[in-house]
Amino acid sequence: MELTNISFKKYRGRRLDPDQLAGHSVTYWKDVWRRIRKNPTAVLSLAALMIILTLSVIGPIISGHDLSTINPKRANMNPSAENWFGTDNLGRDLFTRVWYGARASVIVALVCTLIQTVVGCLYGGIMAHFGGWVDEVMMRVIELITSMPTLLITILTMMVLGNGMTALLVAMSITSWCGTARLIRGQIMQLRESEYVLAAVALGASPFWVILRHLIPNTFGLLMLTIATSIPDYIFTEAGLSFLGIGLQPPNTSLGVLISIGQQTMDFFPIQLLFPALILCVLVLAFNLLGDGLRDALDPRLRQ
Amino acid sequence: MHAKRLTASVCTVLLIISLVLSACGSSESSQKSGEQKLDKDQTLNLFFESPTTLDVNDVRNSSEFQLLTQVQEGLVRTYTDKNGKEKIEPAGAKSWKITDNGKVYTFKLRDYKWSDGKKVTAQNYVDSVIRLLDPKKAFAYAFFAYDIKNAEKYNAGKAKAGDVGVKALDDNTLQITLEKPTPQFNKKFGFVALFPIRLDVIKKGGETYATDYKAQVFSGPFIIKSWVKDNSLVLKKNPKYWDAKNVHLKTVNFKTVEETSTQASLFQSKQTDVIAGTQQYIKKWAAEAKQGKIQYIHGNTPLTSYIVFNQKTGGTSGLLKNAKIRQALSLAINRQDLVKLVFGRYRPAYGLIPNGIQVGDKDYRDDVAQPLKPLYDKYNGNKSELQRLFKEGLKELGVNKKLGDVTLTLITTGTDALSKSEQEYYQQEWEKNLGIKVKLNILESKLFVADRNANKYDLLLNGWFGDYNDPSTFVDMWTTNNGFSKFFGYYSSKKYDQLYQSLDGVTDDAQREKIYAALEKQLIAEDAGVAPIYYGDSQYFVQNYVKNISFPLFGTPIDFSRTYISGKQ
Amino acid sequence: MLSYSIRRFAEMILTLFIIATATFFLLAAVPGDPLTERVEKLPPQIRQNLYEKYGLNKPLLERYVITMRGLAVGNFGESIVYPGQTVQSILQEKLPASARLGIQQMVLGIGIGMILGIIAAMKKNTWLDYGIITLAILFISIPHLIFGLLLQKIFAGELGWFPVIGWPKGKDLWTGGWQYTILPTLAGCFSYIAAYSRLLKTSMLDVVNQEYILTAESKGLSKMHIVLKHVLRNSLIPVITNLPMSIAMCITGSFFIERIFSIPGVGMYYVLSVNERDLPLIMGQTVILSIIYIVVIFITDILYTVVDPRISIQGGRR
Repeated sequence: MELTNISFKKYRGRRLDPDQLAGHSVTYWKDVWRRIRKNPTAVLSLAALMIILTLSVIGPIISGHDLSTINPKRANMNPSAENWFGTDNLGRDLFTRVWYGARASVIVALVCTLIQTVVGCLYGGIMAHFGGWVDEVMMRVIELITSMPTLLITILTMMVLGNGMTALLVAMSITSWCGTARLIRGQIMQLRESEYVLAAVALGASPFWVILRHLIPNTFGLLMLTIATSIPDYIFTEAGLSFLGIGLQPPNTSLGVLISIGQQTMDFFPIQLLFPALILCVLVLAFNLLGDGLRDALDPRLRQ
Repeated sequence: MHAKRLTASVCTVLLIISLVLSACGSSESSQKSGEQKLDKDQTLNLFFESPTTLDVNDVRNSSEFQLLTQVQEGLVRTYTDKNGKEKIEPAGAKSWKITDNGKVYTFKLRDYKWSDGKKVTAQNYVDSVIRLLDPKKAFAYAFFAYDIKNAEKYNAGKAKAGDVGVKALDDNTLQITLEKPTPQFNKKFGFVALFPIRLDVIKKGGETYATDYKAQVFSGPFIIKSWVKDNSLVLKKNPKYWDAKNVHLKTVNFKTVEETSTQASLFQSKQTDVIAGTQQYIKKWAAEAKQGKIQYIHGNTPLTSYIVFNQKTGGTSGLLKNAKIRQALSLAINRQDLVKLVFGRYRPAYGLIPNGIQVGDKDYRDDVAQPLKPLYDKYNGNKSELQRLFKEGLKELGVNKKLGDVTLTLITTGTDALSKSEQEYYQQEWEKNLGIKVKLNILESKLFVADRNANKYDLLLNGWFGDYNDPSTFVDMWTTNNGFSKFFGYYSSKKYDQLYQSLDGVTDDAQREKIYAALEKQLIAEDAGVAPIYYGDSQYFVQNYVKNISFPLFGTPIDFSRTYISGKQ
Repeated sequence: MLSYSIRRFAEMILTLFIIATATFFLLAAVPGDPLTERVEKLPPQIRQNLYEKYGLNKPLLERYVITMRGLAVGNFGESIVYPGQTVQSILQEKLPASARLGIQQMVLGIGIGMILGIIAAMKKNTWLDYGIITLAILFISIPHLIFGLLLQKIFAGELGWFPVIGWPKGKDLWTGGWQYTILPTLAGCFSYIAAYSRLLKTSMLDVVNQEYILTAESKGLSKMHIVLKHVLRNSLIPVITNLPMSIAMCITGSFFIERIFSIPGVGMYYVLSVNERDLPLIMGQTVILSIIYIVVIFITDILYTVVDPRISIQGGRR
């Protein structure tokens, strides 16, 4: 028998309890969480991240030194009971500076990722929702942005906006949302065609309900992955820009700034390079490993 | 990364430049080539920044001075002896005499040739001066020739080229007539921008003449063999050079290397022969030099670094027109700690004119005490006294503000770690000693220029690198409405202008020195028109096998025209 | 196919046009111009002459039209900072170094990455698998700059096995002077190792679950035979389709590695010309880099249809 529109009628009876329709997504997430917990590297990196994040909040407080006070008598000291990570060339406490810098680096990375995700989701959602020529035009815009050299756009944006936190955030996320938008668009389009969404629509679920209950949870995994891999990218980009002298202004500091300073004295005081570089590497490594664990956990092909 | 493109005369940013520019010093062995056995491989390896032009008239920054002095030949060449004393020796000129009460210079030229075989004539020198002053060409160093009769007028379009006081009496005789007797011209005529030029070659070279090394002809000890922009440059010995028998180096390799630690690795592995020391490296290598492993050549550099106050608008805070406030800002900086902590070199500056600058043949600083020093010692970092001075200034201005509510903006360009340390040091010193707030604005150089021209600053960092060995090169630009005043905060003082006027026509050295001292005191101590921070110095380390190398105070950082390699293998 | 190519070509031209326009106006919005510092001390008349010479005094739109007209006929104009240098001459001088460095990094990185990927897939869920992937991630978690500096310090500075800086030139430009290229190549190859080992591992696991592999296994073929003959071949699709993008990225140069090892490449030059606002050079380089990128995308699309017949060109967008 051939199936046509006439073969089906929209259900007009009492609305079904939506939870009955969506009950499965909960176990999916439980499953993901279970598999992450079983992955030792992921758990370890999660723990490392927690420690770094905690220290970046309380580190500057417990050190008993402040960020910028210069102490000519204690310049270039090795680690000691007084200065746990030693001091820099102006006698400032490195422990305070490193954690303060880590805080700035993480905040920059998080905010940029947030901008990227929000803009990307909105843009991608609009593309997927409207389709047709709207999709076509918006896709062209993305293609344009991605075919321009990123470094050029970033540097020029910084020059137009001037140095500082806001400018840095804008300059770093100005091109990055394109990937997210593309991803979301693809995912939504794919999901919309999937059987269970069709079934939900056929069963009378409102578009709002479909988005809330099906589209968002099912793109969430992918989003988490993008977020986990974007953060280390931003931390690197910020560090790279610091070398070009672009970015945060003193007395503010970041891991990138500290590394670029430490690098100049590494022949004599390797410790001044070691600590910021080590924390940057651990931070990035933890995010990368977590992302990798997440990728495995989310990948149905690897499900056992 | 930008400072390297700035001019040598106006170092808009000094901090990085100074490492590159620093000059003077002495070579352990003076001119005694021939006594020692020469190595077979006569190659010298050096660092440099890529020059932007090969046009002698258009010369602007130290890398161009470095290159052009070694591939072209001017009237004289400057060497340094064991004690770092400069010795000016005839080069393109065989001899000269000064007549008419110091107004007329007559040079007898040597018979020497361009690398294409043509003779260098007096007309080549005349062409150079005229071209340098050509108003249409707009060369930055045109002002350097203003001592010459009618030069300034021609440059301003108010006289004809033929009126300029420079003549070729015959092929071998060059005569320069000055506007008025100017003793310091004696120290200026060897300058790169006055080197001879070949108009026919320039014409043939067309638009690309200035950057195409293949379009050049050379008259100096070396010729350019290859050049990869922003990366490397290779010189070969010029076989047609008049003194070729005393030029021993066959090849000189210049390389651009950005990272200090990379430079250090290259020097330590003997892949580079000369390096300028910075920070901790100075201590380390000086110790090695003591053991005789390398040569340590250090001395003065005609450089003073300043903190500039915006006296045009009073700055974004509007406070900088007050002398007491400026004085408080100047006295609040502990210069001794700064040079020790941040640079590991340089001398604290309490005056305008650095060590090594001479009046006649006497060191100015040996005779004249630094004008800011007594005042600085009186305050000696006393917070409450400094704050009282600042508050008095506020009162004079009628500003009713607490110190904690005062915010000053410091703009700078240095983005490398060293400059950042320096900037943060100033910020901390002012905030700690004066209780005010200081906003740091580190800008890319073109943005810096934009902010400075729009007067969007209270304080900025600048400095001055002298062009010739006389205090006048340091006091000239502080007069009212001077062309340079926008780089130095538009300092303007009637007293200073009057004192400067009194210099006119004074040829007696003792008399001149007195006036210079008065000018310095007026600017630095009385008016606090600018805050001197440190004097430059030169800290060179040279491999033992490099002999007879010179580090002149002015012009080129290194002169290696008579250098030779002995004992490398 | 022909009409598709024509359409794509027209699209490419339009894209380039908009990119050039965007770059032009973005640059115009940035304070300062190539002459800013040069004219600082000059009298107004001379300053004006200079601006006239380079057409910088004309209204923005007129300058835009002139620039675009030049671009249309492939004339990018001359550098303002280095008179006489053109985009062509600079790329001719700088591109070979960047390209060789990039290609070496890529070949080494992808080669090692693929071997590691195969091992990781075959030893799935063993310590070897975890070890390889963790190691790959560890290396991409170290900034290029620090990694490069360390390599330089240890292997060139302390041990003296390699020259500290430099790059082959002249007749050695492409095939000689290997001792110069080893450290920079190592410093930059890890991002490829990490990316490609992971890519190949996932794709192989994908293929392993396909029916024909089960068939081959049930026929009793040896594991080695299956992996080489069936799995690997079919797993290469994502690798091949990813290649063009890697190529496009690699030849545009790596700023930090070029800087540390003093390599005369385009990466570093690009940053310099932006700082100097050398408009003709920036425009030229941007357009050329964009052309490379767009052409690569085009090739990728074609490649998709070649290696995977299920995707047809007429089927529209990816």
